[in-house]
Amino acid sequence: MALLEVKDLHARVEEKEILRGLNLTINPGEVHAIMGPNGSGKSTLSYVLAGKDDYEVTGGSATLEGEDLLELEPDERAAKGLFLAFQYPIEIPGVASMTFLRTAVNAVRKKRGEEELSTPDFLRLVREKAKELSINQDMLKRPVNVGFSGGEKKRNEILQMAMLEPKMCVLDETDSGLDIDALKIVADGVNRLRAKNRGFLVITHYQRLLDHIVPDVVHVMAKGRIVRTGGPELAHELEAKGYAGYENAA
Amino acid sequence: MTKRGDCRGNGSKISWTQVETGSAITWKYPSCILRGDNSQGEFYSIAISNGYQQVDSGTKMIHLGKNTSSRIISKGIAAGVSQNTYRGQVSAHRKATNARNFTNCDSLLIGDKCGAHTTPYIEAKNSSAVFEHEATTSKISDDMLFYCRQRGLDAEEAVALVVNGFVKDVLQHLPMEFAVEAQKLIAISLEGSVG
Amino acid sequence: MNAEVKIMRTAAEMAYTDALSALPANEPVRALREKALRLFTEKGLPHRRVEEWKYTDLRALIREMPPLARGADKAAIAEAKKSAVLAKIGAREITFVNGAFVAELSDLEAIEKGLSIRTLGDALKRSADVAALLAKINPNKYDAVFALNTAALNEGVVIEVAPGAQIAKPIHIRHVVTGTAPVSVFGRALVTVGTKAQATIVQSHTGPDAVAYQTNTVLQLSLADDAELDIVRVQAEGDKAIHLSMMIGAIGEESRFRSFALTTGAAVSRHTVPFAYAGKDARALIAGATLLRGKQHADVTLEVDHALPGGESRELFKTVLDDETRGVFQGLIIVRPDAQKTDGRMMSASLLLGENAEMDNKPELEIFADDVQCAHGATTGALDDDLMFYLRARGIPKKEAESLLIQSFFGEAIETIQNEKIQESVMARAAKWLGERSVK
Repeated sequence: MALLEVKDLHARVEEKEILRGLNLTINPGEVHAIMGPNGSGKSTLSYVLAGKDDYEVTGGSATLEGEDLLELEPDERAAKGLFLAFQYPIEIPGVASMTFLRTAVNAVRKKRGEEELSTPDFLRLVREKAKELSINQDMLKRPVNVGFSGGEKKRNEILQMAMLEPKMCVLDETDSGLDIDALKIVADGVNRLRAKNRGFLVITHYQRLLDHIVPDVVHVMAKGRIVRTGGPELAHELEAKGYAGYENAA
Repeated sequence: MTKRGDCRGNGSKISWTQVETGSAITWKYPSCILRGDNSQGEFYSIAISNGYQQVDSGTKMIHLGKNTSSRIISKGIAAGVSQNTYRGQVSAHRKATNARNFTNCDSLLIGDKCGAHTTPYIEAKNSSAVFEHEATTSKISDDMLFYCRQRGLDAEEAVALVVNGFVKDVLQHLPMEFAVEAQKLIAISLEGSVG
Repeated sequence: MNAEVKIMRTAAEMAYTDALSALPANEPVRALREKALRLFTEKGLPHRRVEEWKYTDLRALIREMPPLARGADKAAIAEAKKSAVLAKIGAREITFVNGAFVAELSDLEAIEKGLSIRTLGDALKRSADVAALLAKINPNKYDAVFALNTAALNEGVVIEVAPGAQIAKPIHIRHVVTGTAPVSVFGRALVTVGTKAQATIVQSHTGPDAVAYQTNTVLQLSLADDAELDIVRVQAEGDKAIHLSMMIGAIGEESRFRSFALTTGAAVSRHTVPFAYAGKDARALIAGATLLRGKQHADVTLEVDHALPGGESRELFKTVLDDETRGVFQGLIIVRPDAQKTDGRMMSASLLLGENAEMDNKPELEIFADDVQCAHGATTGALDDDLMFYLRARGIPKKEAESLLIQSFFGEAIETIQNEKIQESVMARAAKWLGERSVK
């Protein structure tokens, strides 16, 4: 069974139709990339999948392991295993990153019918995962994303991904605002999480992220639809030729 | 209810910390009279209103002695159709040289039918007084809530988490056991505030 | 606790009622004046138990009412000629001496297309619409000081900017008081700016030192949709004067308003600004600098009322208090339930130079809508010792060092004035005030 199955998805934001019949199937273990010009609806797709308010689905379906995603609340989708790494991670003043992580992990475990992690187990796990992402403990004591550099914010996203053990990860422009070193750390983190029961959807404008997170399938999105699908070589073609041919493709 | 503390001795200190999730109508004004030289007054307050509650809280810091200082941190949270008001007075009298006050007074609105009001009176009658007051009012951020929910928290947990962050400056002045209780109280008093 | 306490009327209150009821009936506004006078007679002068007047108790501060000014004779005009406030800003001047319009000190030649300037007395005789415009504001809506001004409605100026007109040349309304005998002077200015029109208006108040005269002026502003208006006000009344003023504003959709007020004059002054957002997405900046010495008392009270969505307001007030002066700032931001997306920021900063100076701040937020961003701040303090030391260690004498720091403090507010010439002129006045400061 497909992990993520999106069929003829239509969605709008404030009367404006952004997704216009999008189809996408991702199987367990696969890494797909969606590339496309600005305004093609890439970020909208990620928000619609995660269930953000104001993004109204007007037609079609999206399922995770056969289960309808669109009817679920955002946190229920997270518990089912959908993880969105935000393009602009949100700052939450006053809430320590560690507190946030533990609250999220235990909320998700509870909904999955798993035992909550004991404090020592949780701390051990965080320390281990944080180390892999070069995140120091001081950063986790600070409020969530407040005063974090661009790279720190994105590493924090990947840390949360690692902790929440999702099945389907959507990375929205994770490369934006990162220099090459930060990009490598983030990409290594993602690659470590690649697994045969886990899928990835990497949304990006540029091919450079895909040098580090090599996709199995590359899609080109334009005007709210997937207009072309190919292998990793498609990303290189786009890098060379640009999106000019796709601006009006749909 | 009105409580009053009087710092008569030199170098004495008084600190009020209150968490108000109260009754239908609440007025609460503990005050500090800083009479002794070098005395200090502190007021940390969380006032939550939900449903049809009207919560009216605040404090008075009356600086009379020399080198007195005071600090007011007030966090008001209004949900439902409630009204949440802060009233405060900070004054330095003629002979109160080197009086210091810092006031931070923030309000968080949950829902579009509640109100938050801030009325401070700041009176400096001595040129060596340094008073700083800042106040903000904003709504609970949809983006923050969505971010929390994407990480698996349900709507009420998300609100409680963000609110706990908002009130953190005050909570950390409570004894540990009380802080834990206060957190639970906040969660309970906000029940039903998100739909 | 609403029990009305009947208070004995003071001599000054009785004198106001007597003097104003004896005014000749100005027919178009007679009913309005009578209503206002009744209201004033009932309320009396505002006192400290009236919340908005907590820090400026007029019943205690105003002991008597000087006789109403009787216009301007030759000597008065000659004296007024010598007064030159903001003389070099290239403005079209309209001058009132002791409340009376003086044609020879006013420039009504070659009025720009789309601009109309009339005296209030003239306008009331010729057109009913002006009386209607005045009657639009119920005297009951504001305080007793406004009722008093309305009860005395007689002279003033009506300035109208037609839709689309861009009036580049500033219009300067001068209020000059002359002579050595105390008088009471009233005045009203009506300014309407049409859709997509733009204008700059300067208002100044001057008079002799050592004369306990009183002035009460109201500036009534109305901006249509997409209109733009700059107001600069200079209050440089004589040192014994009592100055009461109001700026009542209503601004339309997507309009842009900026105002600045410099206060250096009068023994007692109160400037009240009730300001309403009458259309959505309007922007307003209300700024000012108050510089006081001796025993002056100056009160600035704002009420910014957001009733419609998308409004932006910025208030910035700087108060410098030397000697035994008292400064008052009260600023209220109201955000009504429909005024979503309102962005309001208010700041009052004060510098206490005199050992016995006093500053009272009451910044208030009243918020009934949730999707808003509002903040206010208020600071009170003395000059920074470390900065003073640093400057003096570099060889700068005490007075200059203080002047530098004080100027940088109030300069931020003066810099909000858009018109460069006016900004320079206001800055020069403020610098002159600094130059006259005696350093202890």
